[in-house]
Amino acid sequence: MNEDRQEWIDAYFDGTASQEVLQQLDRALVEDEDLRIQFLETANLLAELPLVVCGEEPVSAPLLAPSSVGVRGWQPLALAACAALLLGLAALFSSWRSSVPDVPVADAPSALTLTEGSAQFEGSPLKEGDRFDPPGKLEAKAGATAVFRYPDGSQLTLEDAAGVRLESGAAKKLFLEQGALVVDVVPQLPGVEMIIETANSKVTVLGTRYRLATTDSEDLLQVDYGKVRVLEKVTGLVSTVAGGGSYRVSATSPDQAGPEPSANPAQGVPQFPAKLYGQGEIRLAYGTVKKKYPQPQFPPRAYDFHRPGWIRETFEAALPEGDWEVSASTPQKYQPFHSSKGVAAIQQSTRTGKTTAALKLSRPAGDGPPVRMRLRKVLKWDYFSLKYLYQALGDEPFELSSLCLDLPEGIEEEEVFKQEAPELSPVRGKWNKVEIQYIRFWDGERWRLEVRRYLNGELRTMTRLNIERAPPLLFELKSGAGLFDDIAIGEVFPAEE
Amino acid sequence: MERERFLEYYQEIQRPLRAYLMGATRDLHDADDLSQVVWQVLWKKLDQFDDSRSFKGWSFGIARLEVLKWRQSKARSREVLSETALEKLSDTSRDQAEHLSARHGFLLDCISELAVLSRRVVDLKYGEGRRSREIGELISRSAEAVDMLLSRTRKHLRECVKRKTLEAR
Repeated sequence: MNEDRQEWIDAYFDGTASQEVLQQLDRALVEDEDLRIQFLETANLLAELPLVVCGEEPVSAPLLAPSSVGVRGWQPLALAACAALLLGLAALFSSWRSSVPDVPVADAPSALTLTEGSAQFEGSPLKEGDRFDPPGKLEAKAGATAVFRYPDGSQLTLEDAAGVRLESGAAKKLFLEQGALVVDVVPQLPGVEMIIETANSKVTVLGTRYRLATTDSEDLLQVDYGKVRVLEKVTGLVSTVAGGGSYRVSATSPDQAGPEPSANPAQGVPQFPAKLYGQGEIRLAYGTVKKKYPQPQFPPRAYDFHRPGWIRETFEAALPEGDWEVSASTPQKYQPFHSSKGVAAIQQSTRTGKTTAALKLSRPAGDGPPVRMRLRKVLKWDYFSLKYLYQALGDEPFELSSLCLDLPEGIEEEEVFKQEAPELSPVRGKWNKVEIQYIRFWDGERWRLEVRRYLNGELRTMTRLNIERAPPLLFELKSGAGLFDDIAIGEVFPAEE
Repeated sequence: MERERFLEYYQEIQRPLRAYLMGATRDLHDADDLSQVVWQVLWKKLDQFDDSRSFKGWSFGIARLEVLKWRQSKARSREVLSETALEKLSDTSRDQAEHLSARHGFLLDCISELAVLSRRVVDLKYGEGRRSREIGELISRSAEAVDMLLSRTRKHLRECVKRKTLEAR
């Protein structure tokens, strides 16, 4: 490993690399494959660390005994990464290792050893200590429990006449045909995970200890350590439950109700258990918000001596960090100056790093606006929740009378509540907070999504959508009649206030 | 392609893909966002995928396109790698996918071997997302000392993972 160049790599990821170092690193990455591998290994480390450390107890913690609560079928729980990918949860896997088991490394990952109890494999009785390889049918005796151990230390317990078909291959693939089983799985490497399937579902276990109890009305998952990804088969919702957490899934009976929506903001907790970006912050995700300026707010700065009878006007607004787009509508005879991008442009100071929206135009003297400048802030979408959208343009006042979502075709929105009281209007000249919460709820027939919009802590509107999760879509906050049609919003903010 | 196979491919390449995106963006949040986009595109275009091709190659190709789009949005930033470097990194991460995936298990072991203070700082930084100053306040160190400790710990982890990778071969 080249330590000098590792310093370049570290500086790149720390954000402290000078321009010269960046250029050197860039050139070297193009030319040297070994350096690229070194670079990717560092990136891999930085990407994996947050996942790896989000486990539970240190390595020396003793393993808990498997629960006596069995897994009875897996309905309606199953794991499908493809569904998770639709929701963009690709980054939420986590696994960590406990102590290395003292079993021969030469054993195939899917080989089993009976460590306790009695059972039979392919019709032949097994005694404690017997080792066998899939494929084949494994059955526990009626009234008895059988405990098996994999080479990596994972344990499988079959309860009372449970029957499991072991599939061939390196991965631990089981088909639960009848009865119940309990799994106690150490973190798995890709390619040899435990996959348990029933007639109705499929679960891929990455490495965790959890208890799963299923009844006619609901399933209860309790995770001791590690993480489990859960797919609710009926709704398609995928959630990740971390160590210490639990997750309850209702059966598909119309009588089973989800949490009732409430007008009390404190009770409107989104039901998505994981925060995508870690504790302390929630970042906004995809979307754009527009702020419109009806006219420039600064007097002309200079006369355009190159064009007699013309004057120049400038307008600038400081913007918070982020990706902005600007456009302006002007009469055709207005012309840009000092900008090759047109009348309106986003400028970023290389000295201070500040971003400014600038409107610079040249127009005939005596001719006035209208000139409209539109700013868009490009955001990213966080489907778990969006909290606290701040007006981002300083002390400029804005009007806000209603909030709405711009929904794709086919999604219906039913307005449940709307507050029009004047006393809940935004405060002019001050920062105003807009909050949107997404809550999944059961309406007696199906899961739906409720959207609650708050202004300065007061519930303003509550609508329900005929979809089950917040879609990744473009949204706008519109103010209706007023000085400005839209408001700009902030970016990173504390999750807890 | 069947869903089960897609799931298998996903589990096979999600780590090296994420490493590539982390390398391209230098920011875990951007990398995760891009990862979401890439997997959504892959899923939507799954019907168009020709099974006779390499899924890995196809996936990294799409990831590279998304990175280039992301890069264009950051054109004003001076801290973005060149298109050529990003393309080369994409090829290398595709070719090294197995190697990058396998490191995960070794990383777990290496973290378990960290000294108590180092492990605590790693947990605070990467588990709880705290800043160096906050960590320093919790462990009675300056922010600079925390940065130094993190740098040394990352170096230790890199070397540990490399050592265990070689031992496993």
